[in-house]
Amino acid sequence: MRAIGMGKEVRLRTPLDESAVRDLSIGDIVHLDGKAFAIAYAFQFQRALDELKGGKPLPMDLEGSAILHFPTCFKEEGGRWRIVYFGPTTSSKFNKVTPEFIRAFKIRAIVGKGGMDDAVMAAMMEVGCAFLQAIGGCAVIYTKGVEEITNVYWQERHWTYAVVELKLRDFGPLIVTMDVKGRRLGKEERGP
Amino acid sequence: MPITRELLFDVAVELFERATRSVPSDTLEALEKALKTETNELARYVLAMMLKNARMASESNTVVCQDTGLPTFFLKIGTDVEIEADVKKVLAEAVEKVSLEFPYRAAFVHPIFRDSAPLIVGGGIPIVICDTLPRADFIEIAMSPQPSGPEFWSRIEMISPPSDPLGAVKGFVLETVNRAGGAACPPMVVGVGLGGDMGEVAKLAKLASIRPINERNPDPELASLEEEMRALLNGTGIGPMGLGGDTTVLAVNIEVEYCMKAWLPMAVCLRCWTNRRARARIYNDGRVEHL
Repeated sequence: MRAIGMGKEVRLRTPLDESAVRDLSIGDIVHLDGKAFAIAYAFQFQRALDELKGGKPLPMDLEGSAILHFPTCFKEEGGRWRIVYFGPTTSSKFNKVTPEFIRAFKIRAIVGKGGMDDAVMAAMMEVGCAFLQAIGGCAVIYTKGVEEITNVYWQERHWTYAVVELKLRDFGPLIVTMDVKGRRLGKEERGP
Repeated sequence: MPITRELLFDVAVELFERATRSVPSDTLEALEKALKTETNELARYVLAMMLKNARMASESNTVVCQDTGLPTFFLKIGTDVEIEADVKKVLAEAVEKVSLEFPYRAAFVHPIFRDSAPLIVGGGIPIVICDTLPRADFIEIAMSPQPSGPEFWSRIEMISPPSDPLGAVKGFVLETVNRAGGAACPPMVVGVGLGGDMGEVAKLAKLASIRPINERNPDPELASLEEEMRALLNGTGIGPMGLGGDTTVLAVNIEVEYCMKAWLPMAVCLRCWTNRRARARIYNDGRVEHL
């Protein structure tokens, strides 16, 4: 494993500009502002792809967005959603469905934990998407970076599996561990 | 005077809240120490964020990690203690109350029929592990949520006694930590169980994993093995969150019991950097001592 120092610190707004993502290098520290989606179950990624293929209009606009592999705890209060807490889960659980998902929705950033496999890397390099590592176990820091939950989708199975649309404000720190040049920081991992 | 249901319930609530909403003081001290000695700049940055998050969780009484884990209670029941309650039921009620109030995410499903709504208690949850203490007039409760990542990468193996048992043990522990890499959220506490039978070796690893960080095995040879293993694992370069560095483990704790001549049972229980746990004793006279 190559030791690498810290890179530049950048604050980016979503939807992310492709050139801004291509400028990111491993070791850079990113904070995000703007719209993002928390999706933490493989079957929800698959559902989005299936509905797109079936020609069904999706209830949310995923095009060019940032995806957070963050299981989310929220509460409905007076017709609005309040975030209780959220934080990163292991991203390699979504290796299989992610290359197609990145290509289909032109995803610009994936925020998670532990990196993803080479097929995901290939899709990231092609589309212009970076993997941003969140620090595991830091639910308080990341929850503070959520201004509000703007919508919640696909709760049929159970609310804990929902796709959550968020508005982020100074959300981070996130460390670039897979960049568009195909470089990695740390080793790829599997499992939860 | 027997311990009442109400007292047991209140202590269990407090322990579950503390165990999910703070990082224990010995672990904070170990992380602070690592921050001073770590040579990798990015690793120091990650360690500083971990400490910041732990502080923020305690201050705001909110969960440290989004994964509040599978609730597990380790009980030591004094043989002179009197309890006026169905202990396992009361512990489950405490977990349910805390989980519903906050709320915590329901996370537990049937291992085969996974489609139904996830539970917060029931179906064997919380896990309760019991032991006895001779002549003691108290019950000691250690509450420790078992998080998804580190627990997933924990391992158990039964091998034939090799020509070099010590080498086999070191190799098994090293391989387990290398396989886990950053997925178990290092720096970790590594609980190692050796001996017993299949159930016992797993329990030994669990008990080792909740031992205080600075407490070495009373057997001097095992204590020096713990130190040696700690240095070996920190030499892997995995580092905090697997991003590189000198801090991969905070402690290696080993527990040993005898086994059959034909076996070498080995188990490794990994704990993430949050190392969440809380412990208290309740005495017959109603005194509560937080440890």
